[in-house]
Amino acid sequence: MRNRPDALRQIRSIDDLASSAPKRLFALSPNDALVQISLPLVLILAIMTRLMVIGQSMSEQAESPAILEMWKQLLIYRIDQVMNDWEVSAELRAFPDASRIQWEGTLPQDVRFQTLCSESQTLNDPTAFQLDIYDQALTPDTAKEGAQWVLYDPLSSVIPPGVDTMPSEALITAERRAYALSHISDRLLQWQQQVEELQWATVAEVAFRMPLDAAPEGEGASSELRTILSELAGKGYPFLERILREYEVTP
Amino acid sequence: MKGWARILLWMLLSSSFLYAKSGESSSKLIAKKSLAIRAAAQELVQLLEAQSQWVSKENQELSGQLSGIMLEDSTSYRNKAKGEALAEAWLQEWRRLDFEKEMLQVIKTAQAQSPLPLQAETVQARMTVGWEVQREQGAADFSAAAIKEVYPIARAVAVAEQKRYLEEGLRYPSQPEVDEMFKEVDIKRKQGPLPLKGQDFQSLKSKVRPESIPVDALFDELDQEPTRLADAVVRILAGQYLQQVAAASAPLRNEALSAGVFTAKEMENVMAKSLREGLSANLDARPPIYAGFAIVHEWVENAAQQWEEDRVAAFLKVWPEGSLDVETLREWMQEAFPRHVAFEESLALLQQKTMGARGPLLAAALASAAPEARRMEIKTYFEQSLKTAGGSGLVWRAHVEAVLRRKMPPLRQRIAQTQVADLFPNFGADKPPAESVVAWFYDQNLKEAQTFPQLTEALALDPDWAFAPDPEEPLLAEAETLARETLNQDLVPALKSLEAQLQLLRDMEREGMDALKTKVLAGEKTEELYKRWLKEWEKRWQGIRDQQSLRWQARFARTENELRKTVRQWYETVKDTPFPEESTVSETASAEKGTDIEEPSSPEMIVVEVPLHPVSEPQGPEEEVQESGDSAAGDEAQPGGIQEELEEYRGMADGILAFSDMANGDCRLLFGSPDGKGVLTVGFDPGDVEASAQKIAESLRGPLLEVLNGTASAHESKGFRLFTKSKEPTLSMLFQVDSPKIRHQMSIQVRKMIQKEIEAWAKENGQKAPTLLWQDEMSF
Repeated sequence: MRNRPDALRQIRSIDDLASSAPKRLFALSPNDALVQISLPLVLILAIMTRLMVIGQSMSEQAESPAILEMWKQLLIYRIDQVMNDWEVSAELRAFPDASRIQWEGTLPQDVRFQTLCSESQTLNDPTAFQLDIYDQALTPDTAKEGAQWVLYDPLSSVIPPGVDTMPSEALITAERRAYALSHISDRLLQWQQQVEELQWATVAEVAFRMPLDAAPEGEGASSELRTILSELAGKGYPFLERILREYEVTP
Repeated sequence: MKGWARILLWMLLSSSFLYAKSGESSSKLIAKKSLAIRAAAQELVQLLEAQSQWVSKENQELSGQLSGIMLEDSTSYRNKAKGEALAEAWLQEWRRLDFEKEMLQVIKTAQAQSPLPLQAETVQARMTVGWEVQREQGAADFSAAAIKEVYPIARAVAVAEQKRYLEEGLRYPSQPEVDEMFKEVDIKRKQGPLPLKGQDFQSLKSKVRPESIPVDALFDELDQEPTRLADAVVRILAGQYLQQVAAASAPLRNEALSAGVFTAKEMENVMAKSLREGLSANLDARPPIYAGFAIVHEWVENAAQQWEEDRVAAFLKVWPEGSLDVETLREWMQEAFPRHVAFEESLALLQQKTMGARGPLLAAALASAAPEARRMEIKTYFEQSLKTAGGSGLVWRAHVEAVLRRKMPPLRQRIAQTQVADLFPNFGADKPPAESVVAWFYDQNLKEAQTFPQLTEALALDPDWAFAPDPEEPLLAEAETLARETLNQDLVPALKSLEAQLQLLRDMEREGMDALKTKVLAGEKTEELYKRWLKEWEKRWQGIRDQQSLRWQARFARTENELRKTVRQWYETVKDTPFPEESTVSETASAEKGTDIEEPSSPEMIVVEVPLHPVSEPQGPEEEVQESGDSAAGDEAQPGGIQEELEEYRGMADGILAFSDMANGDCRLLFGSPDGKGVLTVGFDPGDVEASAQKIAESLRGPLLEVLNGTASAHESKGFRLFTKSKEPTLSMLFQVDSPKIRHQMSIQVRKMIQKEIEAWAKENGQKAPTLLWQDEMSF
């Protein structure tokens, strides 16, 4: 009696052999394996990755001081003010995506996009643009904010009145300066990506719309890019240098 | 759900993968893909536009490729014009493939430039509409423009290359092959010891043709190339042959090299040595330098033999003892004279005699120039050599024969003259042969004595000329000829005179019938007629008598006999032949003119001959038919009569036409049916077929009707005998000829006549004409 299960298994195997029925070792088809195993696995991995990112972010926030310092609050506020102004004036906010661009024929016909392209030229030198924004943010508006909200960075060209009497809280040290510049840089990078996205989409559209040249000046995609960018620039759409130099090989 | 899940998974994986790989935004990727597509399309458009453009700098590459194609398929490109059409098609295809290749490259470049997957069809769609048509048209235009420059160069290259193949593929024959080829040439030539000449080698061209390329794969420009190469090889072979011959023959030209050489074998050794020293064989060279050819060695042997023969021949010209005196020859002939009757037999005997007697002398003379130590050896060699059938022996034999042929004829002629003078003394007495001798030749239809037996047989008729040759000393052939020629000097004019006399008689026969008829009707006798004719003959003979030889101007007895016989025949014929009334009047009128001999007045009167003793003679036109039976009855009375003769043909035919010779030279026709109906005999001259047929026709008319009536009645009662199987009425006739004088034309003439009579008979009786079954039988 102890061996009864084994005996039953053997009898079943003998029956399978007698009836020539193949024994199915794998019950799932490849399609089922893909859907039932791989897809949940990928989703699980994605969720895990997202959870890890969120956890890391929360950890960083936990390590930061709960209350911002005055200089930081004031400086970030001013920087954001300046950059928000720039976003508005450069019409960046009008183009969350390329579908907003107005077209006529083979080229864009959009004044706001012209403005954005022109204003975006400052992004070609992000360091200068960064310092410019930084300097604008340091420039005091005593009439609006009062004299107690003046910040001073000895490395900056902006020298507010009353520097000698200025409390140490208003002094922007190198560490504070780096923090401020980093904040500007992060946002500039976002701008740059957004503008590039828009301009690349424009390039793709123009490449599709523009008829082929009977006698092109050069060969290859770089030549086509130069031709298109030249055409756009002629129409008042100067593109970023990063786009212009896309196909240039870095020595 | 599963499908959606798969698509979602793919999109997730691919986008995350691409993003992770490039780190670039999707717009940038799409833009770069668009730029790559545009650039490729731009380039392809340019390629399309350039598709039809022919650039000369491509000529070298294209012509090189095309020449390779032509060489691979030279059969198709053999003809220049056809090859150009093929080349144009090839260029078009090449252009099309070249575009495909370029397009593929461009697309690959575009795919490499594009960060996103890029399909070839996407680029092609961006290019232009109908690009395939443009590509084909461009290729055609390109081909048409390029062919004029590419094809001539490609063809020149291919031809040059093929020519090089041919030359490299040319195989020089091996030494044994050359020996075999030369042997065939030498056998065909058959020119003896002379070496081969340049033209003798022409037949070798077909054997040395290059086979590296089949003939049908050669370009037209190289049609003659195999022949040229074969010529070159043959020239090389011939040149080497001639060089070898020149080397071997040096001793023949240079006496210093042949000093001390006396025999052919010695000369052969010297020449072989010279040949060996003059050769430097190298069979591995190209062209190879052959060793001594087999036929050169054979030629050396022959040339050495010829050298010896020439040497002997030259010596014989100056060897005084080589000449033969006539008296010696006469003595040798007298030793066995009967064997010297014929010239050639005599020549052979004397040649054998001479060679046996003078051969040792000649051998000794030839050896006299040799050094003392070798003299006996050389003499023995030549003694044996002169006895052989070839080489020096042949020269010696030919020399003796030539001398004998020069000296024997005068000697034999003198002997012949003596024999003739002894055997025919009448020749010397200038006595002509008797007329019987002349008549014998005339009867033999000979214009002269053509053979000695004829002469012997004819002269036997004249006792004065009869002779009996001495069996111990038979006549030489020249004597017989001399006797014949001497006799012919008299015989030929005699025969000519006799012929002229008898011709006169024949002329008189042809012209004198009317006058004779008149005379016969007037009751003139035969003798008077003969005299009148003789007188007329003499008159005519006087006119041509002087044209004859003086010796033979008198009338021959044969002429007189013939004249008499002719007159008598004419007389009998005219007397027994009925004449129409008006004809008689006409002839009488002619006779009144006093002319003895007149022109014939009607065609039917030209020749009518009857036998001197006719078997049966109709007595007159009215009595002819009814008397046919009488004449048969008369014959029946004779032993072996006509009826009995006809009986022999019973069962063979309905009517018998039996021809036989008569004693007087004429022929006789026996006609009738085997059962005795329409029996008739008539004589006629077999020489004149038409006249005789006419005569037979007239004589047969009555008896034929009798046979026809009898046959018809027999057919009604019991049918024909021989041809009764046919339901149609038939009449069978047997044309039995027992005389060689009856010609086939006689059968035709008589048959026509009988056919005509049958038709007339049938028409008259209202019956269907029986079919004439004609059978010719000759028993002589």
